Formats: sequence, structure tokens, C-alpha cells
Amino acid sequence: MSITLTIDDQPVTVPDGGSVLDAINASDTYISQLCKDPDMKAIGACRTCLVQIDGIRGFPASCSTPATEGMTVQTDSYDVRRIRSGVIELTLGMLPAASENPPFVKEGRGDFAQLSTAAQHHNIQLPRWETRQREATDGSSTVFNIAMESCILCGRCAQACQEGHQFIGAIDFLGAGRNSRIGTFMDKPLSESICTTCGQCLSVCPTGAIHLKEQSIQPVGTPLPQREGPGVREVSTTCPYCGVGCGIKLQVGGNDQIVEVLDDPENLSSVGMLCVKGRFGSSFVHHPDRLTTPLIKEDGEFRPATWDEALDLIADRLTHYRGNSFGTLCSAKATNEDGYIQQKFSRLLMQSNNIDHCTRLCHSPSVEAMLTSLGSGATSNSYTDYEDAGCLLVIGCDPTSNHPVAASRMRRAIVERGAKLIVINPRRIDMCDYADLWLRTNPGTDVALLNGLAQVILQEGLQDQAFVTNRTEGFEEWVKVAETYTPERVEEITGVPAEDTRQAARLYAKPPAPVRPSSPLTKGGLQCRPGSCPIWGMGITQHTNGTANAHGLLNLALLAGQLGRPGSGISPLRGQNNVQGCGDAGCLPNAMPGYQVIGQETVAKFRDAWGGNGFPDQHGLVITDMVESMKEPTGIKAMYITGENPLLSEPDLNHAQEMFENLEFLVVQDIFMHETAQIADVVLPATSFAEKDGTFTNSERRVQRVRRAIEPRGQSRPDWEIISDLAKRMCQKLELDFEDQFDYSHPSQIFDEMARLTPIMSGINYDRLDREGGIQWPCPTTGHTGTPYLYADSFPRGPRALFVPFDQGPVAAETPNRRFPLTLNTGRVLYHWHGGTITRRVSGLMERSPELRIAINPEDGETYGIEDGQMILVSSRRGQLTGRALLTDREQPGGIFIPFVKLSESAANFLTNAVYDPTSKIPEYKVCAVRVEAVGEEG
Amino acid sequence: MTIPEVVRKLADYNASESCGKCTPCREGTPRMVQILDRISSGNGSNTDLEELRNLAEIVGAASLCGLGQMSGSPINSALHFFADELEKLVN
Repeated sequence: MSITLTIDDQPVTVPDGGSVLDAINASDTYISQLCKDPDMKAIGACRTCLVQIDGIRGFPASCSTPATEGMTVQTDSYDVRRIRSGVIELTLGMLPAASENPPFVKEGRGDFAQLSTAAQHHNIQLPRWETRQREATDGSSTVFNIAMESCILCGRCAQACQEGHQFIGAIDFLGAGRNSRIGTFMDKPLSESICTTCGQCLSVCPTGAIHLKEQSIQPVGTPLPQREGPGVREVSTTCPYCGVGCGIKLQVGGNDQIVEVLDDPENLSSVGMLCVKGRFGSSFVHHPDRLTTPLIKEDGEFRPATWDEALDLIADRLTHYRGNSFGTLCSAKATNEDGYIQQKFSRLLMQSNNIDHCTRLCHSPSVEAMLTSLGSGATSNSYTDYEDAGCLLVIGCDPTSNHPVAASRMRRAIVERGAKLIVINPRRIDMCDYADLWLRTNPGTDVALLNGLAQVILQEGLQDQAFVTNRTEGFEEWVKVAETYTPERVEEITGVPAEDTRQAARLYAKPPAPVRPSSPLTKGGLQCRPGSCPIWGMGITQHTNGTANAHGLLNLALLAGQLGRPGSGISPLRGQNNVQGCGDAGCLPNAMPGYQVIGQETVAKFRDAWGGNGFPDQHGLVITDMVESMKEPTGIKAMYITGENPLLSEPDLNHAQEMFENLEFLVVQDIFMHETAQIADVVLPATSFAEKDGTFTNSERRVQRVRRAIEPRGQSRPDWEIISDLAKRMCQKLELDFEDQFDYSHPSQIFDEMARLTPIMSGINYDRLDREGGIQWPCPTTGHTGTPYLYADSFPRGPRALFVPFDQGPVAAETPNRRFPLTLNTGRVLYHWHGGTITRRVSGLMERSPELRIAINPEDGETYGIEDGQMILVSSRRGQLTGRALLTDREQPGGIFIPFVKLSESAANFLTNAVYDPTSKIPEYKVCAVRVEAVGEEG
Repeated sequence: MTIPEVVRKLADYNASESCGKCTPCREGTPRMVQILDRISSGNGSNTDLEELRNLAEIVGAASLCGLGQMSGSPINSALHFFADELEKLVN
């Protein structure tokens, strides 16, 4: 449906629900609009878009007047221009020293551009009002200032912080009338508020009152990039941080340096949002620490080498390790194309299936459980399903810190659409502020709780019987286990009150319908019964009972029939930007690209495609097994690691270090020198995300383009190119006849080959991605538009999904005792990425979070004589670290939380326990026993 | 109380009651007080009266809610019915 109206005698058509302003903008008629952001609802405060409409009294604001059929609108009559001019003059009167000021001259983004255009358009040459005294600047944020003297109080920033985008609510108007200003709760500095420094306010400010501290997002000591001049350009690409997969627009300066990162409202995953790391954390690509030349270790020291020298050396050495003594670790930060080439190199040339990547350390239990129960190891739904859901079950994850933009979309569901939120977490995470129910479990007891939720659903008859009967199997055996977990028994194990378990089960199984079923993002509303989405992270998986936990969640989804409809589904939130894609590309010891499980048939298929003599049809080793095998005579002797730093990410680092030192030959390919690279024989410089083309696949299975924005730093080269070059050299040395298998001139050729061999993404190619934006696999044909949610009719394993019973086992391999009385939990903080190799090199982030803060409950603080802000020593049976105590009731008594980022030589993984979930081989990062003691400031 | 004093009082009331959301009311009502103060103190001019009339019209026509929309009324009334009292002050 559309509406036709007349704007200044021109007929214009807008879609149903459009405003008069939409119609004016569609007609290419200029009208000033200072408070209306293109991506947010009308505020109606600036009064600069006033028009005259036949039959309507006075001068209505076009932004908040709905367009109706046959309306006649005048934007340019003498009267309405005079009124608008008066308003613009009053607005200009708010600005500092208007007489000599920029509004009349300056152009460009954020520099009064919109105001100055409006003034010019209304022929305002001179200021009419003397300037008025305004409030000072809040410069407490490390990356931007809020300067009230340039603020016209349009309200866009507050709207962006609230219901316009982020649903955070850190800033709003304080005061009234002419004393209004933008401020925080209790008028504290921004850095002491709940502000997450996402910069959404900065991105919408029309006057530059909120402006970037440019130096803070550039590496220390580097000159500011040129914002103007030849070569200034914008490149749309995908954020390199987490698995949410936000669209970013890199603003590249004339000196080939990234000036700034803007959000991309067109991107379907991030819909115009970004977080602090995405918006302000890109300058690491310019850091002087970047590796710029190959390095060869001689007599214990690295020396720079040429590519020929380094690659010939590697080719020589690796010829001795073909077969099972070779292992490779791929990078979930690199592109799909990089991963594909690396696994192809390992299989075809090195004859080894010992291929793995960091999914082993994050979601391998989820993947294992989903493969067993459903037959596919991916998130089944999309972020839009969160917004359509009636109930979100956020368990074992802290999305506000780790997936900030996904968290914003959850908050939209809760605040705007009335979805219920259940948080299950031993820690009081930020999402608890929005929760209807918070179940505080004892660490390691999730199996019991999830079985308990199922018991209540069964007991109260809340299950989806048709779904269970028609689409599942294994129900009877599973019920025998699940029905023994009464809420009272669960309370004994988990510490969660029985009544809370009951309520949570009812909310999950039969959620209420979203109150506003049609947001601008999901048109049309829901046509089916309200759904529930469990959303989980490492708190479920990084346990010795990780796979059991994941099965618990899947069993619940099957029992309540919460799969295969909009607003339902299962969401393991992926950590790295391309951890989904790295698995899709076949960087797994047991599967080829597209999860085609290794066996004779698959091997034959790929032998036909790749040539050569084929490769082993036996499954290879996972990374944790590779590490353990390094001490064996028949174990891994040579490794090729790209974009991973196992000597910071493995558990029990002292032990891991010992194991790695047994390697006879180690190649590390990365953008920075790090702990693992230090012990390598050859280090190769790779390009960062900004210097190469490719694709990333995000948490909702959306394949998105990565585009080269700047020239590679130094001699660095893209991973796929380095490995292809190496492979060709090895083929020549070994006189192998498939050298042409590594002959690529552009990553699109690699993607096309992968798509051809991978049914789930056969329909995707670069042309489509450039034209249509990201596409969600499965996408079997070029005519297919992608799949927002899986399992509508059947499962990859067949028509029926499988219930898998698990009893609550021991809560953890190591539990507190008298010597080590506290339970250590590890995770992440908003301002750092994983181990910190990247974010330690971004000054704005480092300033915000400069040192390791160890969170302890105040009760424990008292017991162990520790005060807030004091340096403390934390020890486990395996190692120790120092950090600054943060007394907070976010932690349970007896619990302690350390982010695993390495800051001032302290890293949590010196403490963690190298014990593994038997099915998935994931280490138990989430539970180990430690003790704390106060130490002096020196630590 | 004289008419200019009454008008000034009402303008001041509007300025202090303005919520601050829309620009014309937030910025315009204090400007009215400013001009009326200048006139009352004997420093006003005929231009000020013209400015006042103009401001009353713009704030009245452009404001979002009734407060701003009506804030020009006392000024318009005064200029209409008691023009001589105001003119006396500026001459």
C-alpha cells in the first residue's frame, strides 16, 4: 500500500505509514530537519521542518505528521519560510560566538553542516541573537567529548542511547527550559555512568557537540590521519571483533590511514549499531608493533628475512612432516577463504586431518550436541527472532560485554516489545537489570537446573505434545532421567529456589505474546504462537559437563517445541568474528567444508575436485589432543598456526608452554608478535582485516563481505596468499602434480570453489554479496534468498531430532577445599578482546580498562582481609597472578571472576585447569579452585 | 503594577515553565524576557518592540505544545491594546 500526496505542486508517493517529511525527502525537495535522524523515529523538537498543509491549522512539523492520501503540502511559502527562519535563528543563538562562528562557513560531517545548510537555505547571513552562556564539556570518556556549548538540544543522542538504537539509557536531558542539557543519572561524569562508550550518540550528533578525541583512537605516537584531500574514501566491510558481525564503514584518510569507523544502517545484523570496540578499536591495524617482514629464528634470536627465504625454509622443513606428525591451527579471525586454503593445504599437501581452530575452546560442546541431536552445528535462528520472541533465556553468557550489539537487540525485545527475560548465571551480569527472573546457580550445576525446568514442563503439561510426537525420538528414555529432577531436588543442587525454577519453566514453555508485534525491523508481525529463544555462551560450554549442558538446552527446546518458527530457535552466541565461518570452511579435524563428515565418500568427492592421492579418511586430532600429543614420540612434531595465540588461550599455560617446547618446527603467521610467536622457528606477517578481501560468517550464519580498505602494512600478505605460495613451493620440491590447486589471483575464486563443493552455500557468490548484502546459509541455489531460521520442517539428521539424557555429574573436576577455598570463573570485559593482543594496542580502550580487575564478593573480601582497589595475589594449584581487587556483590560469596585478558603480565589462564569435557574436549575454563591474598602495590 | 510589568511577569513565567524540549519555546521565551527587561529599564528601542512582535509570532506558531504556542499572547495583547504604554518606555 502506498499514499500519494502533493509536495509543492509535485505528486509524491510514499509507503503506508510514511510521514510528510518522508514524502518531502522522497521528492528531493530540501527541508531543514535537525532533530530527525534518518534511522530513528521523529522527535519533533527542533521545529525546523515546519510546513503548511491544506486543511490543517498553523504550521505542523512534517516529521511527526502522517502522510495521508491527497494531502497538499507547501514547504516554501513566504509564511512558513519566515517561521522556520525564526526558529533557525533562535537555534543559532545557542552556539558560541555566533558572529564569527563556523555555522556560517563550515561544512562536513558533524561540524554544524546540517545547521549551516539550513541557515544558507533560509538566507540567514548574520546572527540575530547574541550568544548565551552554556555548560562546559564532559571529557571523561576516553574516546569522545560532550561539549554542551555546541549542543542544540535536538535530543538525537539521548534517543540513540535509549529506544532509538541501544536501549542503554546512560544519557538524557537534565534540567528544564533553557537550563536543559545532556547529562547522566545523578549528573555524574559519563565515565562513572552506565555508558558503554558505544559512540551511538556521537554518530547521530548533527553539530559535533559530541565529538571524537581523534588522538585516542590512533596508535600512540602516530600522526593524525588526513581527513581531507585526494584518496579520502569510505569502504564498507565487516567488523573484526565478535561474532555478531556488524557492518562497518571505514573512513580512510588521504594517507591510507583509517580516520574513523562509522556504523552501517543497511547491515541486517547490526542495523546501524556498533559497540565500543567496533567503533573505536580499529587503530591496531596501524600500530607500530605490526609484523612487517618475515622473521627467521637463528641461535634463539629472530632476524628479518625475505619472503623467498622464509617460505623456502618452511617448504624444506615441512616436507619432513607430512602425515600425522603435522598439525595446524586455523584462525577464526581470518576470512573463510583463508581457512579454506589452510585446511586444503593441510589435507591435500600435508596429508593430515589434524586441523582445528578456537571453536574447540568455545562452542565445541554446543556443536557436538547440536550435531548429535539435530544434525547441524549452527545457531538455528537470527537476531530478528530475539525481537519477535516472547521469552529470552540468557544462560551462561554476558552479552553486554561480549556481544554488545546482540544485547541491544535483546533489550529492544524486552523494553519495546515486552519479551520476558530469564537470566541464568552465577554472576549478576548487566542483563539482570532487565530480567523478570534471575536464577543464580552454583557453578557447574546447569545440568540439574535444565533437567529441572524440563521436569516442571512435563509435570504441568506445558510441553508441545505434537512436536514431541511427530518430530522427536528418544523421548521415553530421556523422560526417565528428567522426571527425577523435581524443583526441590534442583534447589538442593543448584541453590535456585524451587519456585523460581517453576516460573522459569512456565515462561519458557508458554511465553506471552510480544506486546508490539510489528517493529519497523520485522514487518508484518508474528503469525504463529509466541516463541522462546535460549541464548548461551561459554558459561554453558566451558565445563567438564559442557556437552551435557548443551544437550539440556536442546532437550528443553524440543520438549517445548521452540524450534523452527519465527521468534524461537537456539542461539549459541559465537565468539570470534568468523568462528562460524572457520568451521563452515572445514577447519575441523572431522569434517570437510560445510560439515561434510570425513569418511570414504567425502574423501573421494574432494579427491575428484582437488586431485592428488587423497588424504586420510580418519578423523584428525583436536587442538587440546594435539597439545597433549606433543610429548609423545608419535605425536605432533610440526605445527602451522595462523592468527591464534594458544600460549595465552590454552588452559594451564605453564603446562601448555612445556608441551609446545617439544615441537621440532613451529610456524606462526599473525599480525603481532605474541607469546606463541616468540617460540616459533619462523614468523610470517599477515594482513589485518582492513587490508584484504574475503568473507566472514557471523553468529546468525550470515556470510558478509570483508573489503580491502588500505594497503598491506610493510611486506605483510593475506593468509590465503601466503599459504598458497608455500603450497606451490612444496609441490615443486615434492614434484606433486596439483600445484594448480593453489593458483588463485583473488579470494572470490576461492569462495567459488568452496561454494561449489559445499551444498549449504552453493548459492552464494561475491556478486550476490556485493549486491544484496549478507546472505544466511543454507543457500543452495543462486535464486535462494538465504535461511533466517532452520528446522521449519525437518532436521539435517532426518525427520526427527533426538532427546539425549544426562544426569548431573560432578559439578567440576576441581572444587574448592581448605587450601583453595574460592571458585574461579573466567570471562571477558567489554573493553578488551580475548587475550588482549589487539585491544592492548588501542589507546582509547586501554585507558578505559588499563589493569586486571579481580571481582570478589565483599563478604569474601572481609574474610581474606582484602579491600577494594588493593593489589591481590590469586593462586591455583597450577600458577598465580596479581591484579587489583574489585569488591562487588555481582559475585556470589565464594566466587571470584577474572577476565582472561592479559594485562601487565597477568593472565587468568595460568590458573585454569586443563581438564576436558569427554565428548568435545573443551577445557574447563569456568571452574577451578583458587585462593587469594593481599599483596603490596608492587605485586 | 503596570502593563509592561504584567507582560514581563507572564513572559518570565512562561520561560521558567518551558520544559525545554522544543527549540522555539526553550530559546524564544527567555529572549522575550530579555527584551522586555531592556524595555523596562529604559534601554529599549522601537526595534525591540518590532523584535518582540516577531518573536511572539514565531514562538507561538512554531512551538510544540500549548505553553509555547500561547506564550506570545500577552505580548500581542499588550502591543494591541496598550501600545502607548510600551512605546512610551522606548522613546
